[in-house]
Parts: sequence; C-alpha cells; structure tokens
Amino acid sequence: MNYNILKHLTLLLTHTGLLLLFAPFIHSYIKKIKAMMQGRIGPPILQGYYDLIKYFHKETVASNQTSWLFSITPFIVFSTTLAAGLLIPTFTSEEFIVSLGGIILFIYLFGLGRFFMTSSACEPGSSFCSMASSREMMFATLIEPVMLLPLFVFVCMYGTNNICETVNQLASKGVALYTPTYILSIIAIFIASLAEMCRIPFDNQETHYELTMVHEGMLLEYSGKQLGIMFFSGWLKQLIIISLIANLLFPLYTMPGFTFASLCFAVIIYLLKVLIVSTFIVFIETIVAKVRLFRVRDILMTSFIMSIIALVISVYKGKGLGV
Amino acid sequence: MNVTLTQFILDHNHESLSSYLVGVVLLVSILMSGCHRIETMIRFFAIQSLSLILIMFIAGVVNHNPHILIISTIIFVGKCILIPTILMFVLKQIQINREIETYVALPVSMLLNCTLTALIFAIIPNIGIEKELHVLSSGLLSTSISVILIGLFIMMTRKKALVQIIGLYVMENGIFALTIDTIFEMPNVVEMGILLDLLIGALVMGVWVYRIRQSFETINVEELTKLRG
Repeated sequence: MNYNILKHLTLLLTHTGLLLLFAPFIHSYIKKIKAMMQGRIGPPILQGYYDLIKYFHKETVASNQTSWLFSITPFIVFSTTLAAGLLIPTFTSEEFIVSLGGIILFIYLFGLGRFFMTSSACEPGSSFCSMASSREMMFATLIEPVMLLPLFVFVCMYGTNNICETVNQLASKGVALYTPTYILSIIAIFIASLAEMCRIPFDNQETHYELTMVHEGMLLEYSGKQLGIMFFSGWLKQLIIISLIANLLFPLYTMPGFTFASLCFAVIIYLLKVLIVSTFIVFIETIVAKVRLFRVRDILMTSFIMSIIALVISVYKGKGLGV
Repeated sequence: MNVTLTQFILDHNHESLSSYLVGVVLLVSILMSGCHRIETMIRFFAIQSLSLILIMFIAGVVNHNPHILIISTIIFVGKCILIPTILMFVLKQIQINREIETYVALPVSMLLNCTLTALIFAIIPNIGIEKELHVLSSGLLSTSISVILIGLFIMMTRKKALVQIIGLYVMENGIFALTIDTIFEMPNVVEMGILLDLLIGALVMGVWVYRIRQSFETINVEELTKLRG
C-alpha cells in the first residue's frame, strides 16, 4: 500500500475517533469542573458515556403527528456536525477535505444542522419546542455574521480560507503571532462560539425550566436513541468549536515526522490545549450571569464590533500601525 | 530613568509595542459610546488615558527626550487618578448610575461609530496629511481623529449631563493623541495648562451637575428648559 495513503488514512481515523471518543468526556469534564468551582461535588467524570449508553438502550417513542423529518433529523444533525469536524485541525493540521469551501462550509454545515433541528422541533406541535426553535433561529441570525467576520480577518491576514492552512501559518510565526488584530479577532470568535455552544451568557444548558430553554427546548419531544444522538451531536459540536479555538490560540505543535511516538505526543498536546480552553470556558461561565434574551443582541454586537476593528486594522497593515 | 526599561523599549520594535496600545484606545472609545453604566464609562476613560500616556512615553524614549518621565507622571496623576476620582465622587453624590434613554439606541450608536472609524481609516491615508506633517504613525493619526469624532458623538447623543462631560474628555483625549502623533509631545507649559484646565473643568462641572441635580432632581439636559428659582 502506498505510504501516503496509509498516513492519510491513519490520521483521518485517529482524528475522527478522537472527536467521537472525547466529545462526551469534555462535556462531563466541563460539568465536573463547574460543579467544583461552585462548591458542589458534581457528576462523575465519565457521566457522558453512562448517559449515552442509557439513551441507546432505551426505546424510541415519537408522537404520531410527526413525519419522516422528525425521525431523520438526528442523523442529519450528527452527520453535518461530524463533517464540520473534518474541516478543522485537531492534533494534526492535515487537510481531509481539500478545496471545499473552508470556513464558509464550516459555518454553514452548522447552519444546515440547525435548520433541520429547528424545523423538526416544530413538528410535534409542542409550544415549548416551537418557542425554543424560534429563539434558536433568532440566535442563528446573530451568531452567523459574528462567527464569520473574525474568521474573514484571518482570511485577510493569510490569504487562505482554509482553517488548517491558517493554523499552519500561525504556527510558523512563533510568538510574533499575537498581534492586536489577532487578539481582537480571537476575543470575537470566543464570544460568538460561547453562543454557538449554547453556553451561559446566552443559554443555560443545565436549566430544567422549559420557558428559559433554547437549545434543550428543541429536544423536549425526542426520546431514546434519537435523543442520545441529538445530545451526542451537541457535545461533538462543542468539542469541535473548542478545538478550533484551542488551535487558533496555541498553534504551537505540528507533528514533525510520522511515527507512533510523535502521533501520541501530538494527541496529548492537543488534549492539553482542549482542556485548558474548556477550563477557561468554565471560569467564564462561573463568573458571568445569564443575560436576558434581548440583551444577547448587545453582547454579540460587541463581539461584531471587535471583529470589525480587527478587520480595519488588518486591512491597514503595513501603513504605520505596525501590525 | 530606568535604564533597563529604556533598553527593553529600544530593543523591541516600538511600533509593535504601541500598536497594541492604539488598538486598546480604539476599542475602548467605541465600547464607551455603547456603554450605559456611567461608572464603566469613567473606568474606560482612565484606561484610554493610560494607553495614550504609555504611547507618549514610548515615543519619548525612542526620541531620547529627557523630560518624558516627569511629563507622563504628571499627566498620569491628572488624567488617570484625579479626574476619574472627581467624576466618581460626583456620581456618588447624584446617585444616578446608568443611562437608559438616549437619542440614538446604544447598540446602534456603537455600530455607527464603528462605521465612522472604518471610514476614517479608509480616507485619512489617501488625503496625504501624513506627508505634510511628520507623523509618528499614520494609524495613530486615524485613531486620534476617530476618537475626537466619537467624543463628539457621545456629547451629541447622550442626555445625561455627566455623560456629556465624559464625552468632552474623550474628545480631549483624541486631541492629546493627535498632538502625540504630530509633535510627539507638547511643551511642558502648554501640557500643564491643559491639564489644569481639565482638572478645574472637572471640579466646576462636577459642582454644576450636582447643583442641577439639586434644583431639577434630574441631570437630563432635556429637562433644563424650565426656569427654576
């Protein structure tokens, strides 16, 4: 077998396997650390896996008012999320889907999943589900530009819309990569991705009160295996976004050679980066209170403005701001 | 002056050091225009002044100005300690700490200021000012003009008298940035005069706002059309 194909295949399988394997772990890790910060004991660190096993052993029940859309939505959401996961660098910056749209594809794969999720939430006719899906759509219109604009700043800076290529170029700059443009766009991406991951200033994942639910509210009518898949794709999305931020923040290590030892080392470094970023997210969640629904716009507006300033400064490059 | 600090600034690319500060100035002024807590606005003003003073300090060190430490210390005491303290004291006296009603909604005003900044950054390099004047960096030139206009915007669109005073100080900070950019620093006497002016201004306007609050029970400038004895 050709050595290059073998390498590519190994990397692809490790990449996908890591994402699938660690998504529940990161979710439980965030819950555990958050509980410890609030002085509680919290669920065990493997609770995510226990939950998934429990859901997959249960029977799936759906309302008889629902159509095929309701039953295929979990699979569509899961596959779009996983496809978005192939576009980002994790422990390696090898590209798996070359020349297929880069960041735009990345953002709109999430958009596709969200479209199916919100449409299927309207199907059973539950008022809580419909309310949650209309809120989710409101968030989506705000999140998409705010997610895209800082990534466009990186496109402006490095002339490529491929995230893996961007991270490679960032890694080659060393410590000099922390320019004002970069810092502003990272802050903007971070705020927008908190909204995309449905975390606290925007949406409370741990709420048990249907009126305040946004993301959870759409899953109210799902049960059993379908609910398991929906939860799993939510956690997968969270891990994907965290790895994107981690790799943009610390693009330190790219694998030098292709041996088993270097692969293991790269995976360990990657996991450390992800754990650092998730701990930081927990820290933010602990000190910040959830905002009112209509104040979400203001926070995302701030993030939008930071990315516009970053764009202005990056276009201004070489004209005396010294960026 | 501290020799190691001077060496540090000279060793590193001073342009890249001050470019972070320019970014901070720009960001803080736009955030200020969309801020509804007066206390936060005063803090932002202090941060903005501090970054400008640091830019001036770096420029002075690079140009081997021996008086730069004294001047920047005096301006630091005035703009980052005395004026914010006076404004905070007035704020505590009048017991109003947030502004809800404005002529332009706060997120919209933030967006407008952002557009304004982008326009200025697009226009200023093309009209050739920096060729006429010997400027420190043309990024700082565009930033200072944006800050002046943002200060004007804050004064125009806000209704509370105290916030209008803060808008005036933002404008003054913009002019300060412009002077750093074009002539590195003003003569000491002029700098002292301006600082004294601002301090007395803060005191007088503080008393003025307090008196308005006493007799009208509001600091909303729209209410100041009626005569009261």
